[in-house]
Amino acid sequence: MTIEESQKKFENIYKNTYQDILKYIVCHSNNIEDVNDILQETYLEFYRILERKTINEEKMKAFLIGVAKNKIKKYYGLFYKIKTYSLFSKNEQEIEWIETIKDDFDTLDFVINKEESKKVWEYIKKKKPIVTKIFFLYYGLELTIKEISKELNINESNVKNILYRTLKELKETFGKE
Amino acid sequence: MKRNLKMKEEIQNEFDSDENFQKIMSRMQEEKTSTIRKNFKVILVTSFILLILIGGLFFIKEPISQMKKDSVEKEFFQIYAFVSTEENEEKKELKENIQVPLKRYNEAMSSVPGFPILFEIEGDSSKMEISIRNGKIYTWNQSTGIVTLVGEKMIIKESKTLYFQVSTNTVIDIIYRTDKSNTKKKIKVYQDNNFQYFMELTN
Repeated sequence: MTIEESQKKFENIYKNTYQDILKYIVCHSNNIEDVNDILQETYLEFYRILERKTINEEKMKAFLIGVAKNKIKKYYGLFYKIKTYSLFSKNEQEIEWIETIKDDFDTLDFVINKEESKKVWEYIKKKKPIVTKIFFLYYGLELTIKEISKELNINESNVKNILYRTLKELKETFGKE
Repeated sequence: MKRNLKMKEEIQNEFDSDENFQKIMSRMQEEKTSTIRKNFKVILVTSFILLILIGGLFFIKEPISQMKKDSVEKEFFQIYAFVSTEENEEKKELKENIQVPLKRYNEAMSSVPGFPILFEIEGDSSKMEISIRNGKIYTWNQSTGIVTLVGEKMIIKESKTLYFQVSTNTVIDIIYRTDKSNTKKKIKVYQDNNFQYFMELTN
């Protein structure tokens, strides 16, 4: 295979697998700021392997996830273990409210231009990793609460809690009265 | 599903697929260049080390060949005659085309059987063939006093003083033999009007 052919092949695989690999890395990294680095490392490593051996096309995605997993482990060293945890104590009055929130509820109606969305995202990135991940999965990849809970291996009520609390905070910080 | 599109755009910009692809390609290129540079450095350093080693070997070889040369040259000889000095006698090397006056010996009064010539030879496998025309060769054991007539030819393999009975037309032929070469010399004997004998080394 020539260099051009191999680059073309790599580009195709990249386009087909990018979203899934991005999702995996976001869900398993400790910090959202590390995601791009880990992503690039993953695909670089994959390209090196592709130059040396043939990989079954059906197993390409699983293979890439394996590479991503190793890269994440290496990146975080001994501290690699993502734990799910409860962020806050429940507000009695709000519990009922949370349960009545529909999955597709969106209170970011105050975010109407690029400048505001940038501010909100920068604010979210400084929050705890679990908050950033949920936000990313909900708004970035448009997953449902159920899908997010499956990806992050936490129960749905926790996802709802975190999302609702964050959205409330955002409205108080950035929203118009 | 109602989601804020601006938020989605912002998040997706953060993880832009095309931007990441460009970065991956550029890192790949850098890696390849860096590998080429690294390989080049390795080749350069290895060549340099090899050069030093070869150069070093060359310099070592030179002294070795010089030593070998020296050891070859150590297979050499020198011939000394004995001359008179005010205090005593001393040996003087016979050099080509230089006449050396010999110490006078009174055959009647002296126990010395003839004119002494010291043949110094170096080299384990070297030997010297000495033959005389119009004269005789003797050996003399100074401790016992025993004089031995050798005759007109002798072969020596180590340094030795031989004694020569000479006349005015005596010629001593010398062949110095080693594994690699043979050197021929002659010692001509002269006498002047004062009956002073001289020896001269020639080819």
